[in-house]
Amino acid sequence: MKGTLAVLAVFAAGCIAGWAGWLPFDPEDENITMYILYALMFLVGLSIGSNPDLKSIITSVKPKLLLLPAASILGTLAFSAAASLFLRSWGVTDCLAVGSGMGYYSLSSILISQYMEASLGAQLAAELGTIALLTNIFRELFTLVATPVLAKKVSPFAPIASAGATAMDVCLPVILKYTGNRFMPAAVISGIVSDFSVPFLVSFFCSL
Amino acid sequence: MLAGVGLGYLLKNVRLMRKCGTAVSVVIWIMLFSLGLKIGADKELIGNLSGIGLQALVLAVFGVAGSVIAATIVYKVFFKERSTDSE
Repeated sequence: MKGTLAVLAVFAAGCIAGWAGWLPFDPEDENITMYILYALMFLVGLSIGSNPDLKSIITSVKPKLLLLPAASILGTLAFSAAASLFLRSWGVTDCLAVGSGMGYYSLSSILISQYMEASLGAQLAAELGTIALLTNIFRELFTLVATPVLAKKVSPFAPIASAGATAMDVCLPVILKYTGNRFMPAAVISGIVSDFSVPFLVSFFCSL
Repeated sequence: MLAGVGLGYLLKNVRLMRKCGTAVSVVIWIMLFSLGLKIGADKELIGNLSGIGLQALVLAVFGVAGSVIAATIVYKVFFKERSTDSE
């Protein structure tokens, strides 16, 4: 929650600075942001690869458990595609790119605003990036609020799926509280797989 | 990114690697600030923030609904009988 507020604060600070016309560097300069993005992708890779638990997680996971993140991701994508019917300004791939953020709002919004620049132009790409930021923040907030109801009335997998990538960090405590500790492996695996899928899926849908 | 995964795995015992998560957050903050700059400098977009919020809400509701429905089907079909066993 603190992390979410920090992200919003940084984003808002950027908005205010841009609005006031104070530009510490030229955000239109694609070279700078592109290199930062590459550095970011490399760092994301480093942190995944250097996770001390990575090996034990991969070897201990029951393959069947992978059905959960697979269903969660496919369900999100299918319904995000359907949502494009209601959003006149955006196409199916735009909505798929936003949906494939899976709750990882910071990374997905940056990737979209960067990668969509070629096809949508800088202005629309920034707009879609902002939509991705809000969509995936809403997703996290909704999960935090709705987990008790989802876990009781729908299924123990429901809050885990709803959390997406945040099932392994921000939303994990509340999920475990209402589904029970035996769903810990399911939540962590689902979170990791979703998290890992974000850079791949987002860049894939942006390239279409 | 895959290069990062490989290198990270090889260097996982190096203490500096623990700082990677922090580095990722810092870079993400810089990029978000830069995204904010673009949005803020675009007066037309600022005027339409409520429209953007609404679109984001639609996408969030659909995305959550899709994942919850699909995951619940998977749970009922593949996991429910076993839920009384020790997991």
